[in-house]
Amino acid sequence: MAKLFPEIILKDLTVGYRSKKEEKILLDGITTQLLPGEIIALMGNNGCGKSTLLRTLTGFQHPLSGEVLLNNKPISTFPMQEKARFISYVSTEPVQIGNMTVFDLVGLGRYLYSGWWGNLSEDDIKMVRHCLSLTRMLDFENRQLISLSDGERQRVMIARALAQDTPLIILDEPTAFLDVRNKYEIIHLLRELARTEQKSVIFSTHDFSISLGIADKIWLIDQKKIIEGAPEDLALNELFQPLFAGSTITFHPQTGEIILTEKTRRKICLRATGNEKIWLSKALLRNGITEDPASEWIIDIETTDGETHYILEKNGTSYRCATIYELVKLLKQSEKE
Amino acid sequence: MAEKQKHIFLLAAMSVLLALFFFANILLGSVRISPHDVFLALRGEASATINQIVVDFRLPKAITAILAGAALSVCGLQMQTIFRNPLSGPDVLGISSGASLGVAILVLGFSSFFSTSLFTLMGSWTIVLVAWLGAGGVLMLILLVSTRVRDIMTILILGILFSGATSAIVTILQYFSSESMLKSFVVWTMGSLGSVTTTQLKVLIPSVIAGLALTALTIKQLDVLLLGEKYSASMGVNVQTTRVLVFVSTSILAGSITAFCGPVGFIGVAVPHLTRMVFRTSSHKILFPGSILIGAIVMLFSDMIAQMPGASFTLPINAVTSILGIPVIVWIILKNKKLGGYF
Repeated sequence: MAKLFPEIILKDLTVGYRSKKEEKILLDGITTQLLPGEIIALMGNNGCGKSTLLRTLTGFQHPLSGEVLLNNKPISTFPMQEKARFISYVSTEPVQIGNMTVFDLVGLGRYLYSGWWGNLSEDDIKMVRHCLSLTRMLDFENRQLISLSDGERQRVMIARALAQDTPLIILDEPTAFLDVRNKYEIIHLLRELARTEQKSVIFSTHDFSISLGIADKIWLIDQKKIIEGAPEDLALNELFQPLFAGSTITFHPQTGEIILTEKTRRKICLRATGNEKIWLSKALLRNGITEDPASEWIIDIETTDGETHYILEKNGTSYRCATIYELVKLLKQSEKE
Repeated sequence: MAEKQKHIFLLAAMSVLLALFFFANILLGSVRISPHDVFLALRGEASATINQIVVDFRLPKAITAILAGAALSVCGLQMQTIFRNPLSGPDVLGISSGASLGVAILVLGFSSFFSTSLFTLMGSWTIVLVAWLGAGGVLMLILLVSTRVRDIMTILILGILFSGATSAIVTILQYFSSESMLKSFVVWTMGSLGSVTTTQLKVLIPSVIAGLALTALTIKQLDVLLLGEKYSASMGVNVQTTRVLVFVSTSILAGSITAFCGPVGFIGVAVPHLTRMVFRTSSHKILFPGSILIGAIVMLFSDMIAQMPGASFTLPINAVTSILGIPVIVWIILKNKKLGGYF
């Protein structure tokens, strides 16, 4: 396992499709390097070339020009078996194979190392168990693959990639079919593996909160280039904005949230603090109401006997609402009047 | 591992069952021969007539049944894995009809010019060769299509179309051929294990062994190919080479059997499923010998039914295997509803 991490460099890499009629360039002249222990989130709009880049890195597809260099040798010159020692891959499609146990599947990851008929040696078996325990699936080793939930199956597929014992793991939208909890757990697991096993992990995703919260680095594809950096660097420099160009949503640089941009229809004075204030302003923002201390419309929050009330004062009258929902309904009504 | 021991035990049990069926197959037939006489005949010590029936007729037929069952089942197993489709098999994808077309062109096309009988002009090897070419041709077409079309269901439908096209060509050939040729060809398409002579076995046995040996080379790769070609390539499997190996061995196996026994339906599709059901594994290390054994047993059994003990006539083997095989497939579809999840 203590393999020396190879030097993986993308050198002037141009990625896309070439057919007889035309050449479609998706990414143009990418130069960057992969480091051990880092997890990279690959982001970008649909059709920008995320999958194509991943396919090129995995060696399924040839670059239009430039090279992916493994220890200074172009990856395209490696025979299939050699390449598989450096890069493992987990695809989006869920794998369903009848009569196959979790152990068997992860054992297939030892393809390169196992015997003539796929017999696993003692060391192979140890390795498979090790990978299962890293992904916390050791208790499932005798379970049938088809009996697993989506989240469990994804863990097993990651264990299989680990069993291949490669310094680089590439995952194409590993969280696509998962619920919120599994999404975070899977990516968290990947980050942990990157740290403890000193691997380089690249995954593509559309999920902002996941990449902002967990990735060491983001590769953001915009206009055939990769913008790279820590998630925070990209946020501070407002580099996420191109993703939303021409749409009604924006990236909120303070909270890291994606919000709908509504035209401000009214301003209101908000006398509140704490969580109530945060969530209340969200609800107001969604309805085109922004904060302005000078406004004559005032919202107060009053807590008596553990019960919270939202009080709207306008034109001399005050209205009490028990929930934010009621308050917003009231505001909408007053607007119509 | 307990699992491993269970598999070895099952394989041993299947071997014993195969031996029993082999003997029962030789025992049964239109002429009643006692088990004792069969033993004597196998050692060449029975009376001349019984010797002749057992050694010249029943023994080659039983051996042919074993070869056909093993070969077709292994074809189906490989194809189901490589196409990742539980309904693939030599007959479904048009491999068998490709082999038929080869034979039809030879028998009906050329013989109408030369007007000689079926097996005199062309030796056994010629028949086998054209069947290989026919099967290989259809497989090449499917291979070509599968590089352009990714969707496996489309490929399956195209396979059915190919087999329709080859049948159409065969029908045209039949229309223009002489009556006697037509009859011998139609009889051939019904399939028969009994028409294989000891001389022809000398061609059939090495062909099947060669096909099975080629398959044995791909066992490890086939396990990984269950995950699909993309995963396999990323895991270091040479997908292209494996595909070629599988297609060559499928052509040899299905082609040889089709050449001598006629098209034998549904064994190739049904037996791999039976084998998975018996062994409860996805490992080809087990499924390969398992399919050989179970395929041979099923084929011997089909032949015993075709033989109709006591009756003086023989049913076409193709009809028997279809009647036995189709319910198995229907049952599999009904049981699993969604076929994708099964294998």
